[in-house]
Amino acid sequence: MKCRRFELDVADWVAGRLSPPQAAEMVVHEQQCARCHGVAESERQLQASMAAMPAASLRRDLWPELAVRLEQNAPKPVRRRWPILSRLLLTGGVAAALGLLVARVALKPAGSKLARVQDEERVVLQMTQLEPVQYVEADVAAFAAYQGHELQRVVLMGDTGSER
Amino acid sequence: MERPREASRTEVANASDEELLRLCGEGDRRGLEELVRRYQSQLFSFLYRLTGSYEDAEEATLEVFLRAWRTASGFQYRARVATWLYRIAVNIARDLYSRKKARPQEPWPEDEDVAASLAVGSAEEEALDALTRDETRRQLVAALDKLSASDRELLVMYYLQQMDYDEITEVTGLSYTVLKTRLARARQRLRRHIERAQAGTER
Repeated sequence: MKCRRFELDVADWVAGRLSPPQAAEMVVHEQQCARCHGVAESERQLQASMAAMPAASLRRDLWPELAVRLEQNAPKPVRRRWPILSRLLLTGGVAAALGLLVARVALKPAGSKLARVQDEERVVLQMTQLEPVQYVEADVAAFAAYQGHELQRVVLMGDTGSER
Repeated sequence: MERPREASRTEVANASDEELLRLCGEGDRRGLEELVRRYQSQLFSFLYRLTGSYEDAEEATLEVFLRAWRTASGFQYRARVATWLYRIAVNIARDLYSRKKARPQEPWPEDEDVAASLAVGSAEEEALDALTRDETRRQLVAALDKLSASDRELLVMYYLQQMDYDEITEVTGLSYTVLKTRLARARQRLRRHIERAQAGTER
């Protein structure tokens, strides 16, 4: 056995964690090597001190305080699934409602546009049948009246109106 | 209505750690309550060794269970539940250590006992023995405090929690060979600190 191996295993050996054959090898090496004997002694002291270290113990059961904190702060893991599910349902519902609205709007113009065009055609038809005659007659009468007035103005005032 | 409730409580008490963690993942607090009952003492003891403070250790222990509760549904069941709890504890202790840096110096429980025994006037020889033991312990605690967080974790797990290599490798994620080497080095550094303290060269 080499010193390096001894140093790696010395803690396990002193703690009784080695198998009997391994422990026997350690004993032999310790007897032959003064330096490793010192290492083993030091390890024995260390483990004795460690064993004498005070063991701290809890003075109370932590569950009551933990239960309060869970109530106050921590979300329950299982409830995380529900918000996701409810969010999905909500999103689906909103999407469905929007879809219906869009479909309704998309379908409605086809009918109403046709009706609007038919109405417009009817109005145009009425206008071309009735109004042109009335309009033309009224216009001719108004124009004749205007011409009459102009003639009278020229005769009375000798004014052609071109200077204005 | 009462009978099934009592029966399930018995089941919870007899359930394995893994079954308890599954209950936690399903939001059943009885799972966590039983885990707390099983592990609070040893986790507190472990964290007390790492933090050196009763209050810090208690708070850290509460935090271990809170984190376990929050992340229970994501546990993969590849490691043992106990190991997983220790891993959480190590992470919390590291966070605490990096936040505080300067570690608190509390009197250790037995230090108080020694002071009390001296105060009541026990035999001189016993008092001297107690003082020597107390001094050795102080040196050890001071030496542990001077180590890095990772060195201290390894030594506490090995010597004070008496965990075997398999458990420590599971908690730390180190391979067996690396763990043995690091433990040997941590031990050397600890001894060096103790020797310096004994020689009175350490401030």
